[in-house]
Amino acid sequence: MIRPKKLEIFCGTGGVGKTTLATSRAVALASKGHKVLLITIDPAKRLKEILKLSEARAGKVETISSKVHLNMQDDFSFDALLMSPRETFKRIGGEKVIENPILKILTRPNGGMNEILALVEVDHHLSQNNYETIILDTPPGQHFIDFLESSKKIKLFFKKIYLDIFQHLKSGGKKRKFFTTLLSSGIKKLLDLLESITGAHFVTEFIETIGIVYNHKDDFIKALEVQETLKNKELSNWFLIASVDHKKISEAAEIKSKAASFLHEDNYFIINRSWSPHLAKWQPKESKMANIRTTLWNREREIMDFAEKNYINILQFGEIFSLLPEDQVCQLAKSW
Amino acid sequence: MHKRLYIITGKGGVGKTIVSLALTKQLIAKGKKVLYNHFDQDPPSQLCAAMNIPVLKLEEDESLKTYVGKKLHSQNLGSWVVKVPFFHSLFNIIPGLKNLVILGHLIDMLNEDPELSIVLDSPSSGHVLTLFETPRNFKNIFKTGPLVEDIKKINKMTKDPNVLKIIILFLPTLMALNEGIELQTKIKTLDYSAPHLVMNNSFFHQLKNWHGLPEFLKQKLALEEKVVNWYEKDLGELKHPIPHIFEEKAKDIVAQITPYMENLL
Repeated sequence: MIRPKKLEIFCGTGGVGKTTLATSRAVALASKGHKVLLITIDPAKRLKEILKLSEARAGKVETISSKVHLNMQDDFSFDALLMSPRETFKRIGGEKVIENPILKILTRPNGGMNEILALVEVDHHLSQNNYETIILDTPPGQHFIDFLESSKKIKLFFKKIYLDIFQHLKSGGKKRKFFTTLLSSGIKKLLDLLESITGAHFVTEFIETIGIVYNHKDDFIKALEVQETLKNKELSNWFLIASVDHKKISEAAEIKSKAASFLHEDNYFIINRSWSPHLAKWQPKESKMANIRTTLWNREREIMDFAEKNYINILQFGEIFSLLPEDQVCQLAKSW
Repeated sequence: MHKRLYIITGKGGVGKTIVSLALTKQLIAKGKKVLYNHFDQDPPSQLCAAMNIPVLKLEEDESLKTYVGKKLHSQNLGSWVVKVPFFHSLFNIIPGLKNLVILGHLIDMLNEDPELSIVLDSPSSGHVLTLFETPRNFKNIFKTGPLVEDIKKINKMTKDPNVLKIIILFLPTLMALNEGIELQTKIKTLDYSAPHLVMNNSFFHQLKNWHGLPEFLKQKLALEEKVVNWYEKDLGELKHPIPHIFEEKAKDIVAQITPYMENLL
């Protein structure tokens, strides 16, 4: 089995089987006695369905039993977490933070803050150091890139100068020094414009909200350490997944190039739902069937060619012919 | 009667782009004025060019400049705001704000040109909910002022069943169907008219009358048939499934499913 690391990341375009494979990896490691936390930061939260978790429990670590949740014979367990932006923010800022009306809305499950707060959440669990391996199931395609780039966004947003300005605004002070900074940063004019289209009430609320977020700057800045873990070969494994049934090779290539600054040599390209073994055995005589076989075979070939050209480590997982997600997970776990 | 705005969504990998392109093609075939937009992402430009599909590409900064400029009644101010570094960093950290600007831009275009329709190749389940929630969320955040008036305008358009049609695609797998149903329920609670669930990429519907299939394809078909039965038991007759197309090039697949789009208009 591939040597487990502190952080293992599963990424790829939509519908290629990220969640199912990430869960199967958790099962494979946990069955060997490894201490594992599986986190999904995809707001679609398929993990919920696979593990039969309730959405109401999002943000809380749940212990998954192989017998109860996955109908397995062997008895072992691992932990799982459905990311909840609100719970993450609550942990760093306390209940009160969420009483702020703007933050209350933005940290809704679909409020759009998932990717940024996911970095904070992952950092928290890495620092706690309660697990040998944290497996991360990521959102599809572009949203995964957003997750990777959230560190850049955090750096831009939490500049010291902005912090000083909003501190100043919140206190209502009129220190000359800051007033000049306020003018030159453009924030003064920006707020005046904002007031002209939303009203003074909103601007006050807005300044307060930014102030609250800036009070927790350290938690956001610390989350940038996740980046270092992702870049370190000793600390992380990368699994980039593609699936034969939707090719999307150009998108897989795009994810690779966008993630290039993070990737180290322990990255694996997974070809999921392969039919190769079946197709190899199938020798149709009738031309209509033969055409279908050729089409299916060429699809497998195309993705394999791409993999061989671009990756050193290639893993192939066959299609699991079962409708039940837990069956798929258990069978895939054996392939690890 | 065709609609003004089509939103195509569903779980990742259900074929949103292929179906969106085919739908655009079908509208063109009927002589309609229509644009394809890949929401907040780069469009498949080569494919669109090869198929003569007119693309609406919104450059984020341009869109933002135009939008903000309109709200402030000055394009100069709009350009200035977009250049302020703090604004830029704020805009990046709140993705919902970006959704609102793009949506506002699209609705403005539809209001300005009554002949125009737009096919929106949308994000998958979790992220499309962010999009659908955006107007409500920002209405609650801003409370009053021209921005709220604008959101009301967006709502007026998008909540009108004669204007917007939402299509949720799903593959014949249990996971994709469940995700589709869950998404449909959540969209309904946001007061949009009921999205249509459409099965895509069905091997079952393409191959069910064939004889002499190999064992693994028979297994595949049997599983898909179970999904169809399961659907029909709970949700009634499965209407207008789109079959799997045995072609390699996206262009050929789009061309072959285009006729099926008539039922989805």
